[in-house]
Amino acid sequence: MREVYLWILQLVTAVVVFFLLATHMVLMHLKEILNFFHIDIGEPTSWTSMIQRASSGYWLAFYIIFLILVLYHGLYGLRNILIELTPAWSRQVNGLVIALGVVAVVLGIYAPFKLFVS
Amino acid sequence: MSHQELKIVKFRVQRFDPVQDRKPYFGEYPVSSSKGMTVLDGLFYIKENLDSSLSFRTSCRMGICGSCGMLINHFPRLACHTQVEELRTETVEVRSLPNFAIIKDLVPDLMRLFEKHKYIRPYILRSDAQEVETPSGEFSQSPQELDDYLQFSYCIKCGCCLAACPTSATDSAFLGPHALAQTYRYCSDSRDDGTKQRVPLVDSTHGLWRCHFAGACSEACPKGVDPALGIQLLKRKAVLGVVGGKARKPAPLAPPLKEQKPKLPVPELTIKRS
Repeated sequence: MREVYLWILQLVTAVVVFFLLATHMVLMHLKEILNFFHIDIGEPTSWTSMIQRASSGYWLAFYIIFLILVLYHGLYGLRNILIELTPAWSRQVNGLVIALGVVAVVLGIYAPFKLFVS
Repeated sequence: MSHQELKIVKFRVQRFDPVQDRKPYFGEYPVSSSKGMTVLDGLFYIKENLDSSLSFRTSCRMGICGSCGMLINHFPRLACHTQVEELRTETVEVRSLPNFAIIKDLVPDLMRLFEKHKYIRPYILRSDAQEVETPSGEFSQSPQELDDYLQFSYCIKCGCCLAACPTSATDSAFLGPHALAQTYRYCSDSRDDGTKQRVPLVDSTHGLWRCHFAGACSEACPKGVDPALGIQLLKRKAVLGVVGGKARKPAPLAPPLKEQKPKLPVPELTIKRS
């Protein structure tokens, strides 16, 4: 794949992840702000709240998309740093980063998906 | 006649003879400095009076040939273009340009610069091969079209940009600011039709996208080329080439002149030979 496509994807994931990350941060860590807007979701890290999200198809889709985009964005950046530091090992670095990404995506999808179907 | 104040400045010059030295070392030379004296003048003084074995590149001594690029007080500059007084230090440290191997003393091996430059095909590329082989006239170019690339054509290939570039320091495979800026120089020239050939050359693993816009190249450039700007504009061109954007048609041949001005008669000679 030509580098320009990888770069364009990096820009697109940056923009989309901004909004997805903001949603995640608000949900997980900004309960008081939600209370200000009279939105009471309870304690987001409580068991009931977590199970509620795990059984929702929308949240499943949200987290799978979030995972894939964040992994792409972060691993592309890591790959660039590594190939600059070790220019002679570019192909090996590409392979390693792709392998890491595939493992992380598979594990990251498996867990919420298993919860969703059970 | 005005009295010029003379002051002794210490020149701390990197020395390295690959035949006998294992690594570079510094030689120290006292040089009388006066107003207007350049670092190159100081090096000439050292070579002519103190140590004739000192080696450095020089040619025009007026900031146009690009031969005398050196690391002067930790910054890449042209020695002929840097006055000793402007450095405002008692000691002037002169080293060979970084990011290049050293041939001897202050002489860097610039092949890295030239090979990367050659790689990006730094000449006008046209699809009308017959016109290129046997030109029949000029290509049309307006002053506005000239402005699009003019500043990037001021490059004198001194290597100061590549010496300053932090990515070039860590990644030896990186194309470097000079080659990338010159890619933009040709791609934005209205006479050129080679964007489709050149962009894939720089759109590589160690090409265009390994520039992180540090801007050190533009800071170091002695001719105001601003290679960092050229590289960011090239990135834009590369992205627009993918997401859409009208391809520019190359400049056509300029039409022949419609009227010829009448030639003035040759004046009669005022001194007659017998």
